[in-house]
Amino acid sequence: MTTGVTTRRGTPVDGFTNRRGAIAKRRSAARTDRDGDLVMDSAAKARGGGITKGRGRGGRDGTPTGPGRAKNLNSEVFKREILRHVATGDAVPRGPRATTGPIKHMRDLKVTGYKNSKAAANDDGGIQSLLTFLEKRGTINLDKRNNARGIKGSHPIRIRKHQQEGDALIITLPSNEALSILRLDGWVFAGANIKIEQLSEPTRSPTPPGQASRAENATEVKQLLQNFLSRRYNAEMKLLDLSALGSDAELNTLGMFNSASTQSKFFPALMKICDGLFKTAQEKKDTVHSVTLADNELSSLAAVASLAPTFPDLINLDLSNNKFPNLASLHGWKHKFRHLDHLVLSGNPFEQESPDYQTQITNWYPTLRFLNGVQVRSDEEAARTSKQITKSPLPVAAPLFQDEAQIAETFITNFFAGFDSDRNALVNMYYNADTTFSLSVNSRAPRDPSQDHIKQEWDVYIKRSRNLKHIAQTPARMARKLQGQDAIREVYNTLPATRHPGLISDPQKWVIECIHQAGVPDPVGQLPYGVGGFLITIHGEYEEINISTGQPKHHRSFDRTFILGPGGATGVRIVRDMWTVRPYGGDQAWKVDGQALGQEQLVAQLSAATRMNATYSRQCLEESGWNLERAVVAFESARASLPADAFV
Amino acid sequence: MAEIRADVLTKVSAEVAETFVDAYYTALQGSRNTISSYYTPRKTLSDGRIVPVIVWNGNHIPDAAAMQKMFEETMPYTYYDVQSLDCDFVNTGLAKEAATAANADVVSKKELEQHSPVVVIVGGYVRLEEAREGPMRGFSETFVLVPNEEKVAGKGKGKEGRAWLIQNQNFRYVV
Repeated sequence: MTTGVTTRRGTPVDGFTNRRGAIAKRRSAARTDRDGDLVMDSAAKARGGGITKGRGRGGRDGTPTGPGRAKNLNSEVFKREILRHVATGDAVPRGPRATTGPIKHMRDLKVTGYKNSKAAANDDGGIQSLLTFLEKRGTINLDKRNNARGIKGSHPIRIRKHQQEGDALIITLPSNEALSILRLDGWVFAGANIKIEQLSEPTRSPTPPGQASRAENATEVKQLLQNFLSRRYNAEMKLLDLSALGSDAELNTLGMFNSASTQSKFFPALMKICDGLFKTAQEKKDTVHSVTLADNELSSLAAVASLAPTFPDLINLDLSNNKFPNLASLHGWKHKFRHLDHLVLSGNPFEQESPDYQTQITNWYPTLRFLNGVQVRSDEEAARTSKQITKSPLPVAAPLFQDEAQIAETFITNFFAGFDSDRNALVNMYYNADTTFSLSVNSRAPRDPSQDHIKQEWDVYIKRSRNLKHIAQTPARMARKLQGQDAIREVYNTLPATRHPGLISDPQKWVIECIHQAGVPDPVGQLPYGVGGFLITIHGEYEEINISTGQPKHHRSFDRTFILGPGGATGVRIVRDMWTVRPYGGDQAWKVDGQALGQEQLVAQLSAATRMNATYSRQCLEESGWNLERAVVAFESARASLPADAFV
Repeated sequence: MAEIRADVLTKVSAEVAETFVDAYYTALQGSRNTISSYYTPRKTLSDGRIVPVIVWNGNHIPDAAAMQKMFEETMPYTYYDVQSLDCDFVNTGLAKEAATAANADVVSKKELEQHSPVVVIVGGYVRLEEAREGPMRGFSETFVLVPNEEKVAGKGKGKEGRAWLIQNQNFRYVV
């Protein structure tokens, strides 16, 4: 906690990029031969040949062995991706926009007067049209200004953040872009004059003279939260003291609790920083044994829910002197904190309402020995259950992705881009007369705890759902399995517009696995047993988009299984497409436990990232304390001096 | 070439999926010593690939015995609730061939069952440690089931094990 190291906890193994490297490149469609099989060695065309070739594929543990793979792994794009994932803190910019210049200073502008415009009658009060108007007109101004200074081309302005405060809209964007927007002051927007002014002072709270002003950008906020954490951490007691946050002088100075919006973001942001401070779950567990949230006027867990995933192994937790009205308000943590030894709940209203709550709480936490300082379970019994719980099978590992010749990778890249932007074209590209598609709704699937309260609407999906647990009649089951381009296209056009996270920009939001699948249908029908293909399983999330406003409506999670075979317009076609839609469940479940990775896996990963051979990769990891991130950095600095035989 | 009636296709595949899922998750819960009997024996296919491929939370489990061992020795008590299920045949080419060889115009239920792999997708939750109160995880799982070749060849003497065996499997905690 006090080290202040801000390495990202995740190793570059989440999601899609770990084994395959960058997937930014769009490959041209795979070539096909006259039989419709993908062109491969003719020897591989024996029964069971098909889409993939028998050699040159990855080893069974996903390590690269094929010549094609090694070439790809050496690409600059891949190295950049790896570096981007393992880089410490914000050293490497995330978005492509930010790569073109130094870190930009953000400005807040206040826009008023739009409430009198015709657009104010829109569902969103005209905000979206106003933002579009400002970005468009501002871009014209900016381009003119740039042109005059000899900078060619268009540089679209993007408003980074916006927030309504009363009749004003506060927008945040880099200062050079802000200047161009400021020139729109007094312009007519949808029949009303708008006023635009620069906010020189913090908007949410007056800052006393001599104090630091409100954080201007994410880096500063991060620094402030880190300072706060080190102030609140007691190393001797391994205690993180998060009590009485509302009366913390410094937090108040920063305006953390002045508006509902900053308040709701404060705790999750703090937890995120905590997470980033530790390289492994073990280190986190060893550093923080106890957390107190006493004296915070909490009446529900909503604001602090992120404590549970951040510190799942807490031993002591203090929730005393809050305003929890009943046990139900603590229900969200019923199955969390599986190693809790001591819980303090005194000074909450439910003590009077349900005086016998001790029994229930004791049952919630099988290892709990002390409640409010009173022993409620014997040491032996607690030790026994504790032993049972720590019994755990294999840790969650990185995805297994056994692609060949980038066929699955190209498909996945194209598929989700097409699904979000042009489903008609997607159907033409990857579906054919034999493709079947079905959709299953699992509206009661477990949810991400932070989303528990959000209302779900499933109407558009339900009438298409083929969930066999609910659809029992054969005719309905038949009708809900769609076959062929036309039938699938028709359904696609009735389903909401979607936006999936970027495969490159948000790899942690995906888990994509792929293995060989034998016996998929032969597109020309000559081989009844079938030919080789892929079984692809994908878990992730998407937003449903309201087409008229461009705003997200629902946040969902999904599971999707594809069986891929040769054939179709591009040489690769979907044989089976089975899609399960469920409430948003987050991406924590597949987060790889870095500590759990064996040394062999680490060696394989470093070797994949650097092309160093196993001996050098191992040596480099040993010297870096078996930390993959540090090893990559060490490799980068020593690369020039490495002998040629250090590489594969 | 013989044809397949759509209702037979739907009925047979659903029956396979429902029967398998009921039995398999019950085994994970209460009869872990039978787990390995749900898998096709380890073998190399004609294209050089080795099956079964078992992937559990990203870990490549080498074979059915290792899967059973993991459940028997390291997995706490599990209670599975299957909330969503869907399935389809992967390929009916061999069934059609068999019917054609028998001079039939329509593929029979038996021919489908003896020759056609089925893909099954499952979604739900699992409670660890305790059935009602234990910690809950959401899961998603995909299976490709194949007819038990020995059973097909043995024509039902009853000692060849289950009718359907797991060829490929991918399990993930998703919540």
